[in-house]
Amino acid sequence: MTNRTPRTEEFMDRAIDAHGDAVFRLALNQLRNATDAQDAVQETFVRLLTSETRFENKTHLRAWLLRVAINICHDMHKSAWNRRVDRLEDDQHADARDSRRSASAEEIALRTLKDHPVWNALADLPEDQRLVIHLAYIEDRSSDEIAQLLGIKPATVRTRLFRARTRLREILGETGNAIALARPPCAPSVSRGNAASHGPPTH
Amino acid sequence: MATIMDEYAQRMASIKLTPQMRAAIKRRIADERPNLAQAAARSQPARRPDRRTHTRRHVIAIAACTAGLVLGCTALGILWSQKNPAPTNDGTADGEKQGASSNDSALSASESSFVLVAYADGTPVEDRGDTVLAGPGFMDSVGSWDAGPDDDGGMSCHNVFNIDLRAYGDDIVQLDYRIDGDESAQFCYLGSRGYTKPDGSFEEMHGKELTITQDMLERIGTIDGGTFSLEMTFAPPDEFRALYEESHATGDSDEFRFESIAYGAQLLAGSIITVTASFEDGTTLTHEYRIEPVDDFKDALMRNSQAFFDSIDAGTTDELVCEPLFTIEQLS
Repeated sequence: MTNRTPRTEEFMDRAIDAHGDAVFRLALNQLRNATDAQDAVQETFVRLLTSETRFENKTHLRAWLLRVAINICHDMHKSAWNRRVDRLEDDQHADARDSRRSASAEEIALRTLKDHPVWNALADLPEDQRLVIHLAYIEDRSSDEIAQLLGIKPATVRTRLFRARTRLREILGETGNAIALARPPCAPSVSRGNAASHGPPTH
Repeated sequence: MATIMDEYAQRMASIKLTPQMRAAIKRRIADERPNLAQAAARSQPARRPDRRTHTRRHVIAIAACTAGLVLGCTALGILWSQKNPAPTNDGTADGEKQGASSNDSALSASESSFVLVAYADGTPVEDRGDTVLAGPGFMDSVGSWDAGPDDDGGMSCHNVFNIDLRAYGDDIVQLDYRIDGDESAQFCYLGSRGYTKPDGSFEEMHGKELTITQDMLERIGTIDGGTFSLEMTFAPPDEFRALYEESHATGDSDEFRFESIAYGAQLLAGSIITVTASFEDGTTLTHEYRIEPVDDFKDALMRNSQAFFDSIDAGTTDELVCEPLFTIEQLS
């Protein structure tokens, strides 16, 4: 759906400030590459610019952005083989370049993330399992919310989470890491109907 | 003790766009704007010469109340002349305001626009850009149902889906609805005690087309507005007779009910609802929406039914939000 009148600069700036980091984290999780993730973030916000969707509140907007970003990452992932070698090379060059200059806090955070065993273990998970892990643990979404976001059944989400956690335990166990993945991954569910009120019920 | 996932989550949470990345996004958006403006200019019909400033938001709300036999899910009231909400710092609106929309294009658009609430509030469907799982209240509950042998010896079913036909938009004075296809599916409006005709009788409308006028909007806006629904009358296949007879024999009509409602929903697959909004300045705008039952319609219907009865058993007063039973695709 394309909007004939693009959203204002002010709206876009606010949206980027409020949700850009979350979109970037999700894209990074899915694409495993900061350069690709940045591309996905740009494309996500360009689609916001042209979208005609009405947003009821910040939750609605964030869910929309994550949904769009997931689709974009999926599309990029499908074509990733064509670029994989180039991208790896790019990242190596970027790391070398970054090591020669003072890094920002954001860049340091990105480097330290890549040292974490879970980051590396996630690389061995299928795209859909990596996604539910991210949404549950990083975005603090409930199974129901993830199901709504992905357009799948909550039972499917729980199955993917179970399989993903099992696989992570296996991988992390192989690498000698203590495993404690049992943090409750899901915040209480907020149903879509609670997001906005449209008037008193009539009976 | 923090788990390894907690550590990872904390580390991931510290990941942010660098200032260079933010700047690049904003440059990309700035680069896109001229292209969009050109595209809009090329595709824009000379529909209205005047350009106006939106000073208020008219949210037209149409009631869809639970009518009772089987499922009662979402009940909606009427809103009128809501002012635009002030966007919050994160680019969204104050969700507390009834009927408010934070859509920035609506705030800044220089021409009339509207969108079905059920579409705007829907959940995007994966890999289907213009399709959503319908928002709450849009045909996710069945207000009434009956089925059985008719006078001619055949079978007849009657499904009534409650439907949220509200639209977000500014300065709308009339909404006209039309559903394509044969006469088996029609819009229906049933008035309420608070909204009757001048002679005191209940307002009632049935038809392939439905018009909500300014007059109705103003009157409805002050009271409970009656019930809007999409009614279906159809003859099911012969095999439904066995289900009917089985339900009679066992006293349990659930299977027959769910099957016949699901069959009716399939008859609606691909139906197009056309909505035309007329604005204060005399202009009109039309959108077309195609509806499709969800893949697991019957299962979702059963879950909604179970949730409804569970809520009764639990004595909860919380509004029951049903699973969507239909998708909506905006065609134009």
